[in-house]
Amino acid sequence: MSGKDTCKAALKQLFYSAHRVTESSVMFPLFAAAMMIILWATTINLIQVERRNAEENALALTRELTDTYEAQVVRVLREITQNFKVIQFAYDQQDQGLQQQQGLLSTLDLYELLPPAFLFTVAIVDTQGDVVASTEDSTLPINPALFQRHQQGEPLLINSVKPQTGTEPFALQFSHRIDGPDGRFAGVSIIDVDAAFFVSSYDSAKMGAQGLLGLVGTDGNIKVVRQGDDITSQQALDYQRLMSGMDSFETKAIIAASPIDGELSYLSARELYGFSLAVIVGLSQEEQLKVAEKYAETYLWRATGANLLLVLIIGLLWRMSYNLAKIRRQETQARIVHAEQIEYLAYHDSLTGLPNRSLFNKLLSQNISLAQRNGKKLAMLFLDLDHFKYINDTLGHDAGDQLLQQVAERLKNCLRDSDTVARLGGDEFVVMLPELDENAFALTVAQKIVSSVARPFILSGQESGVTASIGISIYPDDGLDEQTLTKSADIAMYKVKEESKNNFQLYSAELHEESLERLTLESSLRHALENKELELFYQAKRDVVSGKVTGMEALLRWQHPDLGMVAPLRFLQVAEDIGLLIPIGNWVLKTVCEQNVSWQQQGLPQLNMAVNLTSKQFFHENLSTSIVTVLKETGMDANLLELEISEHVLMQNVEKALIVLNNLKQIGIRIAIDNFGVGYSSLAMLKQFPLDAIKIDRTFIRDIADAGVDKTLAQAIVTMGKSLGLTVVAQGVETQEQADFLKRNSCDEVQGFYFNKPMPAAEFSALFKSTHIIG
Amino acid sequence: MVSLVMRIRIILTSILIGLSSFSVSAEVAVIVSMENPLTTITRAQLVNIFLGRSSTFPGGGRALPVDQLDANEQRQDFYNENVGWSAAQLKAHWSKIIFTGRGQPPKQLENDDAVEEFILSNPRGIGYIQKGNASVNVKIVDIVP
Repeated sequence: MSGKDTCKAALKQLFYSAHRVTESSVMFPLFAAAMMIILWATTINLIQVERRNAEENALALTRELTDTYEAQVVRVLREITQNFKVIQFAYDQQDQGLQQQQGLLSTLDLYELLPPAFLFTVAIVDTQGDVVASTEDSTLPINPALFQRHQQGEPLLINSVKPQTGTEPFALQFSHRIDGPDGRFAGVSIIDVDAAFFVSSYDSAKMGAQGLLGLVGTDGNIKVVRQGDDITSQQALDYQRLMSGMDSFETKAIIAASPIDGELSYLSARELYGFSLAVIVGLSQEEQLKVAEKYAETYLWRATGANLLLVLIIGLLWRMSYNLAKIRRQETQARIVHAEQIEYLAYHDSLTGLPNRSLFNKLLSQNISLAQRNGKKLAMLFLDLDHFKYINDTLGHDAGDQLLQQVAERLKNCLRDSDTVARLGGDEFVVMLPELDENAFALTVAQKIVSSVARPFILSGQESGVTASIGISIYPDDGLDEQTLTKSADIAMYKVKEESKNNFQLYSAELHEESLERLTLESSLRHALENKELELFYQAKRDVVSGKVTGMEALLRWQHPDLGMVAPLRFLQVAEDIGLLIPIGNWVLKTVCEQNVSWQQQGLPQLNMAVNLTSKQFFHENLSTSIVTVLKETGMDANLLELEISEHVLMQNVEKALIVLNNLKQIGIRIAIDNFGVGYSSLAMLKQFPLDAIKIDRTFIRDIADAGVDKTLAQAIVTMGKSLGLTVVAQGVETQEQADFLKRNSCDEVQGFYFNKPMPAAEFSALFKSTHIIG
Repeated sequence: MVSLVMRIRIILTSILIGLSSFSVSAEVAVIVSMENPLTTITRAQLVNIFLGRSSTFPGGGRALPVDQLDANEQRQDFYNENVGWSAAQLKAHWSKIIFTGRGQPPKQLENDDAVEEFILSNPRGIGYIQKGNASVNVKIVDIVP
């Protein structure tokens, strides 16, 4: 197959597959699957987008919050710094020592230069470390270490102070050195405020419950940190690490582990300008993404819902289309069945169910062609019911229909499966017998049918009868086409109807006779043996010189009760066909031997008994054994039995013939080659065969009387036979002239009508006795 | 054995106590300047002014609220009756406002007289004093729920 062809084939396959794909049974699930994939892909994408957006928003919010918080803290710090500056200024303006500082504070308070007393406590500590003035009765003391640092010159310090009792909140203490007139250490001013103040702007609406807001020193010491509602202080964190992710110029937010609780958070921090502090803002990732998660969940549920809906809808549609296809299939099926039914009705007779004329004609043509091809015969039987009209008129159309149905049944029962019976209409039927080997079979069937139809019918409870007239035509004998065969059968049928009715007739009369006879012979022959219709006639063989009877040839005769004497020529083939040849042959042998023994017992001398063998008998494997058995059983002398075998039989298979002959010779019986001279034997063969006698065919003997060539032939044969040492017997001697000639030419024995015709055993023995006395 | 007079005294005292507990009127009275057109104010409006959520009177015009000192009973009564917050809650509230720079707490005055004095010199003022301490120079504002 060329490449082009394979390409074409592949393309064809592809197109076919594509076509299959568009079938709804595949389309629907494919479509559904595609839709589902799209749906999920979109949903997942949406969820991812939401998450990303939420994250972006959180980061932006963190930055925003950081900027705001930074501004707020810086403002407060500046205010506090301002307060310190004011205190310094006020101190510088007065001459008195610090003892008058209470007055200082009061003055400042009057001028509203102090931070709100509601939240802030302001105090002044002298060079000894004692509190000399305060806006509050109870003040938090300053850490000695820090006091020392101020002493040493540090201007501003900010630190968280643990509460004295458990219930007091954390405080953030701002302390500033007060400089004396010449820059000497003059004391420390203190501003205390609840640490919570610095994280009071925490908005849980924005920051959630896990948000982070805090102030941390550049040394990593946390001044105050708020997480949700939890406010703590004085933890340590890695300041460098925190700031490493930050940008000092633009506020930056990162996703990192919170330095407080380690949870993933959006973090931002900024170092404050002018103060050794940084602000830190954080949002819990978990919390911030919760909303997005919620959305994600919603989307997922929606997608699931949509998918289910889709599956449902597609499922329904699919179901519907499947049902539709099913219905369509059913309809097509119904239509086909309907069409088939119509076809059936078109080709069959509705009353009997038999094929009708149309179908029969079709079948006839087909089978004629078949018969022609296979070299077989075909028989057509035309059938007409006699007196049908009478039945129809007297008993009614219903009874008539019933009758036709029953006839149809009986006809079917007479036939083989390969045969066809059809109703042509009215009371006309036709039978076709294909695969016919023997004409006689058609007659057998016809007889069967005639008998069957002749049996009484029961119609409407009443017994009535019809008979059948059958006309038979044979292919190829009576015609080569449908019309001729049909016409022939029709003519034959009409003949029957005219003559006798309730009978059958072959179109060709000759064939008819022949076939009939054959049929008769066959059936009769089966019982011939039993009925003792077979008889053996004996024809004497005489010595040509002395004229004495030397022996006889046994000839089979059939006394048929009707046909009379039937010649073997006619019935031996039939016997062979029906397998009776061997039994008959055996009977012949037996009878001959018995007869011989009987005659000897009666005092007759030893006479040679010759029996003819057909080809089948000769080449039969049991020939020798059956002969031995017969000889034994009857007690006959082997050398008195002579088998006559035609020349052409021996020529059929020379090698095998030789073997058989040798076997027979072993038994001790005589062999004669019969009908010699008209076959294809050669001298060489003759020499080979272990023969005892040679019987010259009657055609040579017949012509002896005439002047001519054959005389010399006959002579030659005699001479040859004699030279081979065989007994030469002449067959069919009918005239004196023939007899004289043979005598003159040294033939040994003669056989023929001139001397004796074949006769039954009793006649023969009588004859023998008489001639024997004479001759 | 309890005498009849004793019994009557006990009964009368109980009634009085009972009556006083029924009274809707507070321990403190809210006062404004006579020049202020305001006569009634809802609790919610009052609270908004004192918590810094609102800086104007319901009828219009700037409001100048004044508190009394932390320790003063009048202050505690006022906040207990009208706001119901603890001191810590109040503190946290003002922390946020001050920190975010969105307001100032009301000035804290020493006593009822100081409050009256303020009102007289500040027509926009609004404050609270012990009931019954109000002079005729100031107007008492009714608080409606």
